[in-house]
Amino acid sequence: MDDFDDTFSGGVFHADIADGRAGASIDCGVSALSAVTTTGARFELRYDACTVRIGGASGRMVFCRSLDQSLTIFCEQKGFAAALQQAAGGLLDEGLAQSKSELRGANARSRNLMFGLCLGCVVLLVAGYFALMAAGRAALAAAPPSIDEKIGELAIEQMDLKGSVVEDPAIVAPLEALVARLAATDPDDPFSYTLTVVDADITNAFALPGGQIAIYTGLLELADSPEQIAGVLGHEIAHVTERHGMHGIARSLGLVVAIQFLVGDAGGLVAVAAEFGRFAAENAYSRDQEADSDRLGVERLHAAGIDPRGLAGFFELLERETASDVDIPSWMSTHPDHAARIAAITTQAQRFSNQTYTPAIPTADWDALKAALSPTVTTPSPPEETSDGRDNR
Amino acid sequence: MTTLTHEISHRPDFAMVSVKLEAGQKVQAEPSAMASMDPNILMKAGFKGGLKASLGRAFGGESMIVNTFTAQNGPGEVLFAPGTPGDAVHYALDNSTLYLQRGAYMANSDGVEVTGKWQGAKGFFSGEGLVLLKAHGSGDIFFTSYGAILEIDVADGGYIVDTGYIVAFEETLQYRVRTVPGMSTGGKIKSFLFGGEGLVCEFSGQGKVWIQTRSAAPFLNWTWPFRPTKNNN
Repeated sequence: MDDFDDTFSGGVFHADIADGRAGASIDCGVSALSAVTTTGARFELRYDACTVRIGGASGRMVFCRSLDQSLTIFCEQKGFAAALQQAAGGLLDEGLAQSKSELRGANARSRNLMFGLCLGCVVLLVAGYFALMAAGRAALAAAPPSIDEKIGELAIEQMDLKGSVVEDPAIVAPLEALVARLAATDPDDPFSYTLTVVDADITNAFALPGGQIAIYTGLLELADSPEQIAGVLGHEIAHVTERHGMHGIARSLGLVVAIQFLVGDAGGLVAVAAEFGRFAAENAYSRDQEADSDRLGVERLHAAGIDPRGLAGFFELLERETASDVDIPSWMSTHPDHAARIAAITTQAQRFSNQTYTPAIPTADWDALKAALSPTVTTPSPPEETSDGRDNR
Repeated sequence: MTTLTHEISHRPDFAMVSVKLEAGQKVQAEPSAMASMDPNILMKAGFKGGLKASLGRAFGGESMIVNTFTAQNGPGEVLFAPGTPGDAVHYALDNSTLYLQRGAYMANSDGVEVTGKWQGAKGFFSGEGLVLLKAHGSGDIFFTSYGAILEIDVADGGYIVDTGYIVAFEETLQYRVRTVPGMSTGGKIKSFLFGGEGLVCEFSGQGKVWIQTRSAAPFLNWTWPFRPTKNNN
């Protein structure tokens, strides 16, 4: 009688079984499904008295149920649906097809929901990111300049400057006078500037929030004219006035800290911010921020009566330096695209109507500065001739 | 089909599973589940079911390692304790499959393989993780949960469980993640964002689902304000 000889493994739901459910081996007979449970109980379900449905956790389980719903035979094994369809000779085709289409519909709805949720998450993330940035900017706008100063002071204290601080007035005094001259161009500037000259053969200068500016003797050595130094300082001052470092910190610290800045709980945060500030100083500002600082630096130089082309001149100098030097100075690596910047500075400088400039540092002071620099860097003094008395010749 | 002689005591809050092994009989359990045992029980650690099953368990929040306890030279008893305060349930697999929430697995007899089953976005949004645990075969499985465990017979009307309260369910049940039925779209969005009841799992078909009477995450939220804090200022 059982011509359709495939035996499938599945299960049975029936009230007579302990727990109401058991595993079973299932045969698709000529007129009925038969299932023998693992405990030996036998159940039959006639094709003309049963409904089929596909479902289960996998979405592939076939359930055959008696019309009075007392018996359910189910199977997930591959090929069962096809064998069942064949054995039932068309009796269950409609039910299977309907169940399949229902399942497809449900799957599609579920997929749509999942897709929508994923999309929602992405939108929330993106919106959250921009909200965070906006909140950071808002918090920064609300933060008083005294916070910049606090962070800058802490940061420079904690920093490894990679060299000792130069205190020789011949070097420091004219540079401080230059900074003061540049700062005086904007009476509304809330920041006061502190210049630190560091004795190290590094062609670099950097600005920290709040007006801390550091310049290396390596850069002073390299410079041909005081205007080039003035250009670099003008550029660094612009980083301070535009609070570029603080923007970097606000980005790094994120919303929570931004809000705490607003609320005013600065205590421990300032230390963290100083850490970030140090990081920002040691790493590049964005290209836009550099371009901004160039532009504002040039304006400030012009306003101070100093030839702003000094900044372009310094870049040209750097370009020549790096062409002959494999070891790229750090100033170079954090300030890319020199040619474009030189061009932008030159164009901007040409547009000023009144171009009468005075030297950035009086010539005598500049010569003294250069002279004072030499021994600090090119230290090897000629070995002194000594006689120990025993040498009679 | 091997059947383990077992007893679950101290239910539901601090349940403990005691398995009495006959000579040569084995039981496998997650690492650190063993609380005590007779001296003639030999414990051996290993990757059960090969690399795929082990990785599956790992993704399902379980250890890749499974300890096997074998009674040598006579019968012996092993006691297993779950990691959380809560219930333990025994389920007999009869050439069938049981799905378990992440971390719910505790022990099983020979003939049962425990591995992971990828759920993807459905698992993610159902609060059950991307991978569910899947126990398949013929034999015994013990699973645990934080809180007590209720067994629910799902009939034709279906059943809705809040995400995060599912402990286990039978393979004959279809489950899908959906929004709470009977709410307007605006209400759904509001509820999803602020009500914490936005998504539920709907079970349909015939079979059993086990739910837990407590969920760990809300409990942790409840304890959060009471945690000791250090003031650095």
